[in-house]
Amino acid sequence: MGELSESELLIMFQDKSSRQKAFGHIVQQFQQPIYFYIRRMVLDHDDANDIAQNTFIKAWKGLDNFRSESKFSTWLYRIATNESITFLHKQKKIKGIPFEDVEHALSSSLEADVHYNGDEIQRKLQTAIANLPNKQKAVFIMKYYEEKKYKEISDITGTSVGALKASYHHAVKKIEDFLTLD
Amino acid sequence: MNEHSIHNDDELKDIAPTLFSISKVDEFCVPEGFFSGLNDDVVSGVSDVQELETLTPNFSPLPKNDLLLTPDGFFEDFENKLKANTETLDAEFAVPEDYFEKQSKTLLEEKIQCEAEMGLPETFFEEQHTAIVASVEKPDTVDGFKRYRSFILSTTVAAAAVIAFVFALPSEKEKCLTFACLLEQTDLTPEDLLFVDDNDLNEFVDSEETIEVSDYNIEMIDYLIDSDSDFDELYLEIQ
Repeated sequence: MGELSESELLIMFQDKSSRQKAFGHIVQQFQQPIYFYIRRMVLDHDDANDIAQNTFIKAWKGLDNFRSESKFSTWLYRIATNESITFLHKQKKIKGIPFEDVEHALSSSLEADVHYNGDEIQRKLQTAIANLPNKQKAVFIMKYYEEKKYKEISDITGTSVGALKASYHHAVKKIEDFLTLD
Repeated sequence: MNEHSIHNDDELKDIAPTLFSISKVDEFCVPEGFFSGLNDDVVSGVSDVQELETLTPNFSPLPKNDLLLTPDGFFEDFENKLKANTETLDAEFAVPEDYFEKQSKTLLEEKIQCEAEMGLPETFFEEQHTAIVASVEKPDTVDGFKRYRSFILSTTVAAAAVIAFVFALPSEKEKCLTFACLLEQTDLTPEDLLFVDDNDLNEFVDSEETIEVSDYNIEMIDYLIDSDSDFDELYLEIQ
């Protein structure tokens, strides 16, 4: 399937007879960025796989509710963000790792992960990001890694641009402090 | 590993130089063929949804999740609230330390006294019955038959009274080695015997007359057995 522009996808989508085909294109075009966004949120490959599937299935279920004012990518990132944060909330309740051991557990887990190629400083950065509150983590990942504009992040999260700037700024400071800690 | 080492964010350089110095890399990798598999999984999932919508057009559109909401912080506070409520209940129903010990002696004494005051002769009701029957006159009954019938009746009642008397006699108690055995020899209910003074109980356990069972001792035995399921395993001291 060749890649289609947002407007082409929208035309296909608005025609009910080609809506399913449009959805197929959407999955094809966005599965990688959505997956990696989710992966950076939850870190584990299997968890990211499950959440990514749920994201697209929810998108399919909600196709009738999709309003053409926003972009498909915005809509998908919104679903992916909500699914990831919900997952992280549940995981936090289940895991029960003592708070002081979380960083060590996470770092060891990344080191042992066959689907992770980062070096020591990368692992430390991932640990710092994992310690952020979930919404702030999402904002940081979208801004720092995905390099999205504040306006787009605002559309995804429903938070004002000013609040997002403040949130990102605080996240960066926290991570910097963590990285420079001995 | 793809590297995007250029940061477009000059602000980052000022406020977080360490973070700025770290190259942005795609350190997360995936198994080979993962994304084609992901596409297939999504398509399969969508097919399941379509099938469900076809089979259940009325309720499949209904939302399944997030219908039951809780206030913010509900589960975080739950344990603390539960603890606080338990402590309040304990405080509300607190009694003085020796309350039940004092109550038990008073209640038991009152019960014994009440039974003594309200006591009746053993054959009272049988005699009553005889007297009532004898006072009733049946006009169409022949005198002779009447007399015969009353003779039979009184004989029956007397016999019943004798039998009851015989069975009411305290029989020689079997000497028991365990409290379970002692329990079998009593017909008192545990509900009557809830409160027993601890001093009397200790005295009973230590006494030389342990295997000679009096009515009062039976009460204490029943209480002990009722309150401790392993009690019937305890052996009496045989003097």
